[in-house]
Amino acid sequence: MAKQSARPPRMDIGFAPLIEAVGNRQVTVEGSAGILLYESECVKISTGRMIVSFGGRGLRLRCISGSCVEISGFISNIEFLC
Amino acid sequence: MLLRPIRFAKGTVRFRVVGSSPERLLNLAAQRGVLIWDAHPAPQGLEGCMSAKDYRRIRPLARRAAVRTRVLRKRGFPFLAARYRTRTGLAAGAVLGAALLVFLSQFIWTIDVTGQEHVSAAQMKTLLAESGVKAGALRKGIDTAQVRRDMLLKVEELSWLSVNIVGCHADVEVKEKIKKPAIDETAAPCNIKARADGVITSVMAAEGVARVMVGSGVRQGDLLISGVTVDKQEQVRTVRARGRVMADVISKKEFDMAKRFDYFSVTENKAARRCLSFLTLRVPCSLSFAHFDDAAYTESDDMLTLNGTVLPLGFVTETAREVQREPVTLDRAGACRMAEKELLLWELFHKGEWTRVSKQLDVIETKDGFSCKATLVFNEDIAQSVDFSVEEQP
Repeated sequence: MAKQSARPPRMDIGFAPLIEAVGNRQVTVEGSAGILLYESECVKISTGRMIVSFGGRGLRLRCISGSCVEISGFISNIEFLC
Repeated sequence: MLLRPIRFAKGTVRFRVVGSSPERLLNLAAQRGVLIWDAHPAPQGLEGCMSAKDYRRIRPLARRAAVRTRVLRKRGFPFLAARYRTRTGLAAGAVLGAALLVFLSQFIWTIDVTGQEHVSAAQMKTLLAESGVKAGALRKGIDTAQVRRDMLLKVEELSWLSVNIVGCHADVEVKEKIKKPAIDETAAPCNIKARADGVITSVMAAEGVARVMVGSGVRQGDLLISGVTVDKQEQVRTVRARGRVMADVISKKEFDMAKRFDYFSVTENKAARRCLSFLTLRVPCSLSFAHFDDAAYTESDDMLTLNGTVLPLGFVTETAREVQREPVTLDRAGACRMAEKELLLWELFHKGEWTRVSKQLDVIETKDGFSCKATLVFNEDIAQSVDFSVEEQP
């Protein structure tokens, strides 16, 4: 009987955004294509294939560069809108 | 950690974006490689920070995004420099300060001598100053190899010396010679004889045979420890006698004192001159001058100390104290007091290592002054090595 691996199957993630969260206080999104909405309660970031929405309180954009956005604040939810 | 100084050097702008879609400006700016940080929503738009150079670049982008930008605060060196552009004195002062710093860095400011045990640091500094290593000396003018050679020739006690000049500080490390212990390598046989007349109080013969006992009276030249020994087989053997023979020895001291003499004393009158001292320069800070016929001069300094290092900057005070000459006529009591002091000094310098057993002082008044006669008994070592030769007879 073949041994089953615990790791998930490999997928093509070459164009997917890389989202790194430090608790619920800081999120870094690599692969951003633009900011669609910026409010203190909601930030929506386009990543090409989908839109990532961050909801919370006192959200701030700590740093914005060509393909990277860093959000800080009290993040209560993350939504992927395809 | 380095981000803040870099941003300060480049200059930063805090700005506000007002319009219907300020996010569009952020996207356009990000696409053009403009870095925006600390962005947060504000009434009717948002606020953020960017470098001053980038702020000029986003003006056409703001028009495209149909928003208006407004500077809230400017920070950094370019704005500071622009503010003081018309004040040439500040720039001149900064240039002058930098030039002064470079100029003063060419000189030795402090000297530290380490490693000496028997040679005093003050003596070392005096000799180093003669060789050119002193506060105020030009750094490039010091030939460390030559100083090293000079110092090793001047100070016999040194075996090694190194002069390290680090910045404006000269660090002189020395190592002293280890003195060769005095070893009596003479193999010739000898006796121990009395150096002076006295009464024996203790005999310690390390080599040879003691010929005197405690309580014996001896005269100068008497045999104390013999270098000729006879063993159990009655064979005569000669050795180099060694030992310590303590005896009470009478010492006499005579000296005369004049009845009338001049006594010099320092009065309360003084004149202090304060000078600002910097390296080798001295700038007078007071106008007082000494006007005394006879004066004693003292000098004290109050130098600036930073982290335990004495800097060559401070005040030097030269004080001249008036010396008064006063004729004194000595009476008998005064003569006794002076004789006591004179004897004390003689004891200290001539019999310092021995114990005094008794003292008798007689002060006799003569025509011109006083004659003092002191008789002292010291318990001292009277052992003296005297070599002798041995000849074999056929």
